[in-house]
Amino acid sequence: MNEFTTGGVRCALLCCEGMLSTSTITELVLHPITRINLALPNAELLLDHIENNLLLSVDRPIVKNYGELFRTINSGFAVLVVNGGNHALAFGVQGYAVRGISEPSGEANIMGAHEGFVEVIRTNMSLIRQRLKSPMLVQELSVIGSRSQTDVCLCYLRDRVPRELLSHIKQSLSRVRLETVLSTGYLRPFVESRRFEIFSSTGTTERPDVLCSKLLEGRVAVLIDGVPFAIVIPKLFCESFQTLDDYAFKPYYAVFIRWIKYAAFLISILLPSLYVAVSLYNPELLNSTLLMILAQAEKEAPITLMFEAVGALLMYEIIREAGLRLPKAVGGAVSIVGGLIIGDAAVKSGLVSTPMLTMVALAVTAGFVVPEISQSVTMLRLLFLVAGGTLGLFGISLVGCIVLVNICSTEDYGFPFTAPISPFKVGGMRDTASREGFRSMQDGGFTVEEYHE
Amino acid sequence: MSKNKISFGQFAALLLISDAFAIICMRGRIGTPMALGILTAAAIQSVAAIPAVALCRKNFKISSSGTLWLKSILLAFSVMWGGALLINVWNTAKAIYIPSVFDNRIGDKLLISLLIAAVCLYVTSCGLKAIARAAVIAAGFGVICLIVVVVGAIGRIEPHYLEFTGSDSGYLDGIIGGFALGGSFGAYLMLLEKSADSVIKTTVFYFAGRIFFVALISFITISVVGAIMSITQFPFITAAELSQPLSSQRLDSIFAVVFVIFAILSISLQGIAISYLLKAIFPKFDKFRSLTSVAAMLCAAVILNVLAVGTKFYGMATALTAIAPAILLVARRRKNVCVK
Repeated sequence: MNEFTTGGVRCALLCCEGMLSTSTITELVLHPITRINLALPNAELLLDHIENNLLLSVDRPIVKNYGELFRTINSGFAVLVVNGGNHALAFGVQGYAVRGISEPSGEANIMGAHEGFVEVIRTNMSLIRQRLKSPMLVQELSVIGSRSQTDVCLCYLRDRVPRELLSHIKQSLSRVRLETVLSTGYLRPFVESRRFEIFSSTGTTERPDVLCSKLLEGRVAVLIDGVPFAIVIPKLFCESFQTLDDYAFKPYYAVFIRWIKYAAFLISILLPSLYVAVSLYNPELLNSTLLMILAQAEKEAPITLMFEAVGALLMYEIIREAGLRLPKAVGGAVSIVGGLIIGDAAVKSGLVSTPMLTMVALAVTAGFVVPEISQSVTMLRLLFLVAGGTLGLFGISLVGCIVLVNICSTEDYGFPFTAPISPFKVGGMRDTASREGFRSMQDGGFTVEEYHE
Repeated sequence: MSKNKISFGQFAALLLISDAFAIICMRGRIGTPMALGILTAAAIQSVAAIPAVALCRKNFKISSSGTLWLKSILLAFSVMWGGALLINVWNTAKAIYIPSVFDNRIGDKLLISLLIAAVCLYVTSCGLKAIARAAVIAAGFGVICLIVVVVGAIGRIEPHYLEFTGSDSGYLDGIIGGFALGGSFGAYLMLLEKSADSVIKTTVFYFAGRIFFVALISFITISVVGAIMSITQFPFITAAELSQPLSSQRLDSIFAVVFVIFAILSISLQGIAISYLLKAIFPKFDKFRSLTSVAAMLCAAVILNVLAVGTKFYGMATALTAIAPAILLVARRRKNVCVK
């Protein structure tokens, strides 16, 4: 708190150390303020003079109560409190240490921009503005979190967003009574359906360019201060298989890659369970040569096929989790030890057969192709494996039916997760089963409202 | 699309899956006269659907404007047909090779039926839209399997089995059998008001698809299984087993997957129809309707199994349900005439 007198009135400049730029506050705020001369020393006149005659910073909110005062100070503002004044003036002179804009770690691409969201909400808002210079872009700031007072920004294109969707999302967010919002996971349950959903019906992205494309399709985005991810509402299942590079490559190659991803998704979920189910209960599905190879390999294994598969999958998850939480250098070493040494040793010792390890490795690798849904894929892989190991193809069918119906029942605010496959929309298939060129897509004017039921 | 409405494609997929499952589970020998009888029954049902379409076009809704007797008939029919489908699962489970780790420990049929009923409970609770969307995807899978069967059957088709042999008495049996396979007619009546598209388009699409499917599957079955028809218990399953497209691998197990998915969707469709009717009859009955509908179907299955009711009973029940809309239409017209 810096107390001083200017214009004959006693004032104080409140700020939080380390959250603002000292040089900026000195040059842009302190120097002009301390040089004010008023004919009549009066608090109201001083505040009026600063407010109307001095442009000390771009962001100049008026602070009217203690709560706002505390929040603005902790957001890196300098707040001028005048003795006898009925409000205070805040100046945006933030200067705290922030991570620079860098390439997103989870959504890397080859041909697109290499900028990702950062932790500062205003930087993220500007990243969107840079790409969408439309007057229709709306960025509504609000505060969520009774203790954290976290800034949350609702982004949408006024002329594209379905009105009902927007009002429902606002309603949902107004019901949040959390003390703090530290990640997207805090808010997502409030904007998703209450039903149990295997796959999340809201998406996240750390790429401003991806977010802009979603906004153009009439979706709503939620940015949270301190979180380098945006929540996108609603999300469709097929979007998990779309990347920005799809739109940079030649359409025929993009279609090829997209179908590879669909296949990889099925492989990642079903391969271990089908291998176990077919080997144990339905070997007639295999041709004799393959059957002999598998029988020969499994002859030496000391444990049943299902436990072998479950063990290998769990071992992978342990190694992955260990590598993820450790420092990068050590994490790499853990992966090498886990992947090469333990894997090789397990096969050589006969604990796990080579075909089984191949199946597990294939399934796990295929899971990396669609990282956005990797959590659901991991759980489904294990679930299908247990079902296939105990009940064969019958068990896989049962679980498959449950999963299918669950995915089909997933919908938020009337937008079915499985669109445009079911409900089938011919227009939507242009960017689902195939990827048409921009010459034909430019006239589409697609918005997500087409899928609303 | 307004709330809880389904498209004509979803509508047709849902009902065709139910019909396909009934046909898969059909027992006894089948010849050309009988196949023609089944097709005739399907055609009669499509004609019987006309009064229902006419009522629906006049904004008549069974759930809101339907009389209590109509709702009660539909409820009883849906419960009975749900029970019949469960019996089909029970009877067919042994014919479809479904091995598991519980072999020789728990009764196969009991385990399979109970697990399917449990999954049906979940599926029913997810509601009409979910099951309708799932039906489209499942129907796509079914079409792929049908193509596999057709490809596998091409080399084995022997057209001379399609010729009429002996007496043509199978035709009448076919009509009765065709009605007995048409248990989804109750669900059709119930769901017609849920169609988001034109009811005429929906009805034509469904019945055309049904007649085409019955004709195709009957043709394949008779021409492929003909030689061993007299010793075949489940002709359509046998036809699929004999139609192997690959020389060194058998694909029967893939059909088991279709059987399970179709069974679940068929039974759940009845569960949803029961659930809607329960709400229409007892508006305050809001909770546990899915559980009640599955429990009712299980009870019906036990009773029908104990009573050992046959094809004629199911055929008669479907026929009675099929004429209900016509009776209602006539009654409403007479009432309108009297009012005027």
